[in-house]
Amino acid sequence: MPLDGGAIRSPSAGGLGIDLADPSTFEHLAPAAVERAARRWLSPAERAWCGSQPSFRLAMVTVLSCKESVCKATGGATPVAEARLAMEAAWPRGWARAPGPEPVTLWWEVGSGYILTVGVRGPAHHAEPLLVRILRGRGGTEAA
Amino acid sequence: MTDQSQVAVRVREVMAQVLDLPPGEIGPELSTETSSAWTSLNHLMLISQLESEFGVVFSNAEVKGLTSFTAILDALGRRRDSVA
Repeated sequence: MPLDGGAIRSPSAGGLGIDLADPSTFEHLAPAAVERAARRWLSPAERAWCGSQPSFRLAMVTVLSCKESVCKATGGATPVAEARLAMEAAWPRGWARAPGPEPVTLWWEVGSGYILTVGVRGPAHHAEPLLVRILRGRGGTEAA
Repeated sequence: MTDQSQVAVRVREVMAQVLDLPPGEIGPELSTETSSAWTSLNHLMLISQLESEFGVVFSNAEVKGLTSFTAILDALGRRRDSVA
């Protein structure tokens, strides 16, 4: 599916999943459609997080993009429909965690023309330093 | 108009709305491979809109396979009895 980044395997620290989404995603649709999709694909906790952000739609796209990154980082072992996220509320960027047998630590960032999510499979104490190194390499973020 | 062609009309309308494409561009040749509008996020939106429109719930395995207009029509055809 064209807009997405690919999955890259990182043998030392688990899989790496990158997803790039367009912030205008779902902008042309009625709020009811966005809410319906949120009920279908997001957990109550994820929907509550979206509801506390500046834009529900943008937050939902960010969560879905994170789920795509989880799926890629786990090589498809955790499908989008099954990925559950704990989002950290630091709009427009922050960490997210996908717990489970194959935990994934993610960095997400909503920019003026992009939503970038990067996930690394593995325990947080291994995944976070790797993510910080990756993010420093692309020019830095507040986390890095 | 047959039930099947009515379903095709409704699927075309939903896909045109979600993918933001003219209805005339929605046809048997449309798939995730042929359309840049059919992104992975739009795919999730499409599934939830189709489920709402037809009163069905697709399994995770089905969701992965609904990657073309034809596959969607086939999946709904298999549920003829439950399609609203």
